[in-house]
Amino acid sequence: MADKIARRSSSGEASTFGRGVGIRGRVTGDGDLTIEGTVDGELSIGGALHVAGEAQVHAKVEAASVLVEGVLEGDITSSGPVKAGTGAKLKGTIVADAFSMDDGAEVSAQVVAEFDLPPELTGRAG
Amino acid sequence: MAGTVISQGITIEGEITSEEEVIVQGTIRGKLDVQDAVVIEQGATVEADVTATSIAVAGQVTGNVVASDRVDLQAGGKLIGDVKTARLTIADGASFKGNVDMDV
Repeated sequence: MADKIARRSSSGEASTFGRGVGIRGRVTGDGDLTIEGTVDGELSIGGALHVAGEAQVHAKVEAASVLVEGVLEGDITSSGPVKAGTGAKLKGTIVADAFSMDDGAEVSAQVVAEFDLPPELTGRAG
Repeated sequence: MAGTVISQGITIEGEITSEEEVIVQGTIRGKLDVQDAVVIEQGATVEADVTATSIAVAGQVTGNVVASDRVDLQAGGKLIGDVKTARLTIADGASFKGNVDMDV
C-alpha cells in the first residue's frame, strides 16, 4: 500500500522522522518523508508523505502524495493522491488529485478531488 | 525502521526533540535536542544549538553544542560555537571556532 503511493515520489532522498522525534516548526524540501513521531507546524515536501501508524501530525501539508495511517490534522494540498489507510484519523481540508480511504479510517474533512462515481450513481440525474 | 534521517534537500526550521539517534544530511535551523547520538554528515548545515549524548560533525554547525558523552569534529567538519562536553576530538582538516568547556 505504501509502495503504491510512494511511486509518485520525486527523485530526492527519503527522510524519516522516527518514533521518538517531535518537531515544532517548518519542514520543507524535496524527497519522500515518513513521519512516525509528532510534527506541529508546516510540511511542504516535493515527494511522497507517509504519516505512519503512531504518528501525530498537526500541520498544513503540501506534498506530491499523502498516505495517512496515523493522525493528521490540518489542510492537505497534494498534486497526487491522498489516501487514508486503516487506523487513520484525518481532519481538515483535502485538495488532491484523488482521495481514497480504507475501512477503519476516520475522516472528518472537506475533500476537493476528482473521483469516479460508483456505477450505481452514474447515469442518474440528481 | 531505521531511526531518524533528515536527508539532503530537507530543511527544518524550528525545534526538534528526539529520544533516538538523529542523522542530519540536510539543513536544520533552530534547536536540536536529542537524548541519543547526533550525526551531522558531510553536506549538512546546522544553524542550531545542539544537545545530545554524543555529536559527530562532518558537516557545518553554527551554534552551541552540548554533549553529555562526546563531541567528534571530523575531517572536513566545521563548527562555529561553544562546545560543552566530557570528551572532544578535533580531526586534522576540521575547523573550529569557539570555546571548549570540558568541565574540569
